[in-house]
Amino acid sequence: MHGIFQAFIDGLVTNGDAQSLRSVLVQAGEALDLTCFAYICLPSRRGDAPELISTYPIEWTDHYLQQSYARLDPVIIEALATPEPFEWGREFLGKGLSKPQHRLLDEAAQFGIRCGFTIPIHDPRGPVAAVTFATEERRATFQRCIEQHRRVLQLMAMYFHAHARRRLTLNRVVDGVALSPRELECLEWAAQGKSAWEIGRLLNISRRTAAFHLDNTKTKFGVRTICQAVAKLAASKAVAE
Amino acid sequence: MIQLITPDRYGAFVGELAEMHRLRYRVFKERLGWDVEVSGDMEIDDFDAYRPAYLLQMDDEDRIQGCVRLLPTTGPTMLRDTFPLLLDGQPAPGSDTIWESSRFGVDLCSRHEKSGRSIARATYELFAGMIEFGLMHQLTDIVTVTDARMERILRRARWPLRRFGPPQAIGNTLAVAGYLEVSPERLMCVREAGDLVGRVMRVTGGDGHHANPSQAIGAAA
Repeated sequence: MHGIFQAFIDGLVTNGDAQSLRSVLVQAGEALDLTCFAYICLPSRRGDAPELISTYPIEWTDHYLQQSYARLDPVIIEALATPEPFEWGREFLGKGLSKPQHRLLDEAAQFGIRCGFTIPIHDPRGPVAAVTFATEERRATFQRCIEQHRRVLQLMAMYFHAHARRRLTLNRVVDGVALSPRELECLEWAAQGKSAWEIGRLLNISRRTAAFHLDNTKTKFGVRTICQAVAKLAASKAVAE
Repeated sequence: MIQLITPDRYGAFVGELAEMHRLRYRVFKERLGWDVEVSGDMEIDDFDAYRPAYLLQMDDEDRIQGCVRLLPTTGPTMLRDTFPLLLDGQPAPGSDTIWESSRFGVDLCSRHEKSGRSIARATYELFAGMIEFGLMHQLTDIVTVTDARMERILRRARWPLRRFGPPQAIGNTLAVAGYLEVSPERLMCVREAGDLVGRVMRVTGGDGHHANPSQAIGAAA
């Protein structure tokens, strides 16, 4: 286990894009005999597609994304409700499901995804993510692996998300200054004339937090007013175009 | 006793790392009520992805009671990227000889042990461990973002914070950032204040090897 975890961490650090992040998880999964998995990072903006890195059949993931299944997937709904890792199967998810949800589970089953162990990751300032290790049937080896390595799998899921988020939502450099995704988001709304209170409402954060992000952008640019910061953003966009 | 965990040894200490993230959950999520990222009973943040070094404080039975995270200021830091306001207009430090500490937390295992004395012991050992780590890496200072309460504890430990600027209200805490000097003199001060004898840091361990030096001696003899 120790070697597997070390290789996993070292791999995450040296690998950049989604494809190579996937290969790091594939390696660790194979070493643990958990070959079927999916990492999903839900969009922070409604309507955006989730980020999906998995070993699921591509026909299934394509279909899943096209149908916006993340919105009705009972596993995702459970992951959104609680940060507690959970095991699932038809019997666990089966109660009170809608017809489309039953259809989703039937379709997943056709691709060999019938039960699994899901680790949700909740970030109050960012998107909810989840790592699922899935299997066709609840075999003793799968069960034993989950029980034995529960904490390490949890750790691996958390580190994977931390790295994936960093790689996939890198800080944007504006006028030589690195803005966090949140700071950029607030500044872009400010550029559209929104007040800190309005931005708070739009992003579902407090006015104070929105003001905090805006103050940070001013500090980073070394300017006094939001107007000046917005001007910097506009100028950098003009250059980029 | 303080256990140092460097990124090349994460694998050897995977159990301890999991325990550390659980301790951080208890301290930062449950006790301090911060809006932190969690999964189950563990807390993690973006900076854990930058391969930090961790110091873990352990009791005589190797139970983890405290932790602190250390990152070089040549890379991303909380001070530069999350709390630049606390710099009070000064540039963020970015030097080989200055590291940043964060996620300092102490939580004792069982209730009857939660006396002021053992909390102080764990805290002072972590402070001493930070300075010992600093001296190992030829650092001049450790920078940190902390709060007014912790600043008082540091002063009492005779390891005073040199502030960048005045404290600022961030969320529900009064946050302040500053430098902590790394020097043999400071180490002596903290050891004296905490009644510590000699080095607190154990660098080996993990994998269950060398976990208990007296056992190792016993086996050799």
